[in-house]
Amino acid sequence: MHFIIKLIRLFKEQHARKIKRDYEMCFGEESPQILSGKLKKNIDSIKARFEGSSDLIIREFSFSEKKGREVNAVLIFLDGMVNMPIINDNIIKPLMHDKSIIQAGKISGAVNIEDIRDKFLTVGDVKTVYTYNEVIEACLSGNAVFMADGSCKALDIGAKGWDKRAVTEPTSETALRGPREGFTESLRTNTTMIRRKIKDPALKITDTVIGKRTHTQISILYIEGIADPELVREVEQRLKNIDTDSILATGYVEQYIEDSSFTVFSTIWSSEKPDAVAGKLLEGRVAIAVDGAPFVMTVPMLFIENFQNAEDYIIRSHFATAMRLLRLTAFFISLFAPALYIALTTYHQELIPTTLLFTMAASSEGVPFPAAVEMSLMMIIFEILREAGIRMPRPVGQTISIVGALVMGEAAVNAGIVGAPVVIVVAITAVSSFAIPFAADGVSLLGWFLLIMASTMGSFGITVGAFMILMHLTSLRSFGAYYMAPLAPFQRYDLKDTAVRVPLRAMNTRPQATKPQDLKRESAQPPQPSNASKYNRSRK
Amino acid sequence: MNLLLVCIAFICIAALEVPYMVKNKQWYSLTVYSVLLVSVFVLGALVASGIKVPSPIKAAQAFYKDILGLSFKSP
Amino acid sequence: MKLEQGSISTKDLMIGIICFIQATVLRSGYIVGITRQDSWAMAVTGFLFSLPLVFIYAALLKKHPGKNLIEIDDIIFGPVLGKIISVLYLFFFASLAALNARDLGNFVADYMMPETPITVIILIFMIGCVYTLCKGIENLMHLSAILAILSIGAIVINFILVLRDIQPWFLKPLFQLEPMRYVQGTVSVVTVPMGEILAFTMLMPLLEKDTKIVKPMVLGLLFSAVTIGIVILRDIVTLGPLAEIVSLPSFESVRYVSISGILTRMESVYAVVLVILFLFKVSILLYAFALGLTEILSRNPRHSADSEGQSCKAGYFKSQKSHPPLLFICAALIYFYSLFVFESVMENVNWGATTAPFFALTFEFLLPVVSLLVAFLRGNGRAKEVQS
Repeated sequence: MHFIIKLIRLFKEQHARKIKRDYEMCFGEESPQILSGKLKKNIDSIKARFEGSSDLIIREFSFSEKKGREVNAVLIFLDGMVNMPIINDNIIKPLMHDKSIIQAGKISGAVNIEDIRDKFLTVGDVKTVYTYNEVIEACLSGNAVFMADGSCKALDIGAKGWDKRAVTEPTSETALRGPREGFTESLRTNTTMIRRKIKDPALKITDTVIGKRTHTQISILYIEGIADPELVREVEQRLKNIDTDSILATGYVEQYIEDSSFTVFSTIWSSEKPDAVAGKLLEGRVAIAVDGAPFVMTVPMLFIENFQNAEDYIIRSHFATAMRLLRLTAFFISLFAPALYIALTTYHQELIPTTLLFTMAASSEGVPFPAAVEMSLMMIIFEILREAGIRMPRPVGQTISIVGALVMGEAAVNAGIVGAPVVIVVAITAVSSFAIPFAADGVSLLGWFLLIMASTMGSFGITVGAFMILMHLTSLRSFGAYYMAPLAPFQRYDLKDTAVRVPLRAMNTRPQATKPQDLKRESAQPPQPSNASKYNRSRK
Repeated sequence: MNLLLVCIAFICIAALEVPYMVKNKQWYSLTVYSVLLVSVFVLGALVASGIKVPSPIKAAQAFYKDILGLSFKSP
Repeated sequence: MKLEQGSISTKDLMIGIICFIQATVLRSGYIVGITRQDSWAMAVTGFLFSLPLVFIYAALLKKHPGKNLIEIDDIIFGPVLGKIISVLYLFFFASLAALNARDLGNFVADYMMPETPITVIILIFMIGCVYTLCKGIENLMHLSAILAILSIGAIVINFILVLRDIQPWFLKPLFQLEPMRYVQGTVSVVTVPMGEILAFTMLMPLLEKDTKIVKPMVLGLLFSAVTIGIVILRDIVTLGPLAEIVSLPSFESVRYVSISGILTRMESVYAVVLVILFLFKVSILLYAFALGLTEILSRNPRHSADSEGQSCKAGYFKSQKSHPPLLFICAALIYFYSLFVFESVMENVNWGATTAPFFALTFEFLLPVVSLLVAFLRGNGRAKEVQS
């Protein structure tokens, strides 16, 4: 009996000591970072940080506790970033209208804010925060912060509700027979779209914040058990090493974490479609999503991915193979066509069939420039046309097609400034580069290099130039994977998905270039028909 | 003209490697590199000016054919 | 060269050897000049007689795993004599590189671009080789698979396309020449295309762990012997007695191809393949030379920071593999060497037919055998000392 009384007294003392500690932490020494227990001081500090901004809203109200004493509280948020119905109905309303609230501690003035969170706020996403920085970050993320007089903790209430673009069809990648959703600028929407494709708890989404001024949120997505943990660690390490003011789009992050910036080919893939990214995740790659840009990056990237499209797996394998070979052909045409034309007409006229040679000679009769200058001129003009076409506002866009076709094509040839074959070659080059959207930038730059080699050294120059490009590609690495795998080093078992696409039943291993941990996809068994069905008679 | 091109080429080659070696105080590497650079430059200057340089292969051929007598008959 | 472990696999080594020898295969006209219509048999005998070479190299390399030729010489012969022997090897590699570069220059100047001075051709070629080595010799070996497919494909396609024009009776009479010619032919095949894989012994430190040496070499040589045989066979049955007159029988036999009047000039494809293969070959020889020179002249061991080249690191966020720092100077040396190595093509051909086999034989056979013997004697001697 004695013993029980002693125990009860012990508990009470401990409880009082805890409250005294909390009180001292709140009202004791004042640190510039941690919130103090006095509400006025907190509000003044936060107002001072946001001095000059007109969109900071500080909603002060009071609610009464059991004994009839009013407690002052404040709700801080930024106009336009919060969802007002949540603020009104789920935060302010329960606090103001509900009569039975807080239990005052033994020392008056200490409010138990966690109690309020647990019992009265009908909001889904609530966190406790302790410092000014966290409060300001919460406000800037679109959350509302609740503080009460007498508590040195604040509540970060999720109430994000700014205007965002609806999920629409992606503009840069059109889908013929696949899903038509595209990423938007909101990070959570993007990760949700990927989550909906892969309903596996092993899909992990980890967050970081990068950018000293922009504090952009970045998510890393990977499938645990398939992605190489070394790769995930490397990605995290490289993101941590980014030391910059602003991250405004995926391109920024891409240029900071890529292996080597001295190359025209990108070593990081990005897409606007969630199904494409989901496919890559299942192969063992790691995806990086950046808040504010409708693109998600995947690493590592192989050269052959320039010619692959997520839709290849949806259409039939023969057609997909044909399309891939076509894209490879388009790549070679857009890279070599100008150089080959120059080499053939300047150095190796004997390689052109005779009748064609006569036509070409006739068409370059009155042209004042040598072939190399002609070609360069036309290529520059075409690049200007293309750039103008992108930047032009839509109403004036019609002019581009007319100007391009008529003036450049017809009039220039008729006036004798350029020869007709040159215009044809430049047009074919340009159109081919559109067939490989991902490598088009690199190709248009390399075409110039090969053009110079061809105009100085003919087909020997093209050969040496092509070999140098090949060596350059082979020496690239993308997060540890060989860029030209599975072509160099030669991996026979991965060739089934490079230039050809074998039927899905045969694709039962993941590509080894990205070193996934789980090599075998789940075996794709062909559906076994039941023997007693009338539909399987033809299968015998 | 050729001589000038050779000079420019060797200056470029030197400019690529020498600063690093000077910065890291690799004096032995620097001396070896300079000796080699100068000798190849002299060779290049000779070739570029059109002076006939005796070819070591011919010396080897003379060695094998005349001194050692090891040689097939020409077909 | 701070390389803990290289990344060249057995398959890469084998295919690299195939590519390396293919370059000389396509210019095997001199063999036809020696043994005329029986030259295809020289491929077989050449392969058989090159097997001892392979076993000698493999024995040397197995005793000292993970070291290249220069280091093995240092170990076997001691520091002073080893360096002298290494200088001899380097002279061999440099001469090979210069001769091959000059060969290619002659070919391009004669057939592809007659009006360009040969200095410019070889200059662009050497720039290509230097760039290749800047990007890493291991990447070159990774690339060898594609190059091998390209060249083998070109050979096969050319062979199929000339089938229309073959006249098999050109092979007769069989084996009617004097035996000395067969010996000469065999020795030529052994030393010039096949024995040059001595250059690959300089690449040994870059192999992955546990790669075998004998199997890829033997298989590579076998495959190359088959290709040499097929190519020479094709030349003989297409050209007949013309084969020993022209300087490039393979080139000429491809000229016969004419498909419906459109694809008439297939030799341009042949020329492209040849240029690429020569780039491969001379890059490896240049690497062997530059690496050897660096090792001879450096007093630090190979795995130190001093021996890293800096000139190719421009613009690299993470440079993959470093290259010998004397790369540019060695390339310049070989460039100038190739300009005065021979004054005329006839001297070159004469050298190739008569003296080149013996010159190459000393380095490919004599010196390695001597090294093995010395190593054996020394090893035995040391063991005896320990025992007693």
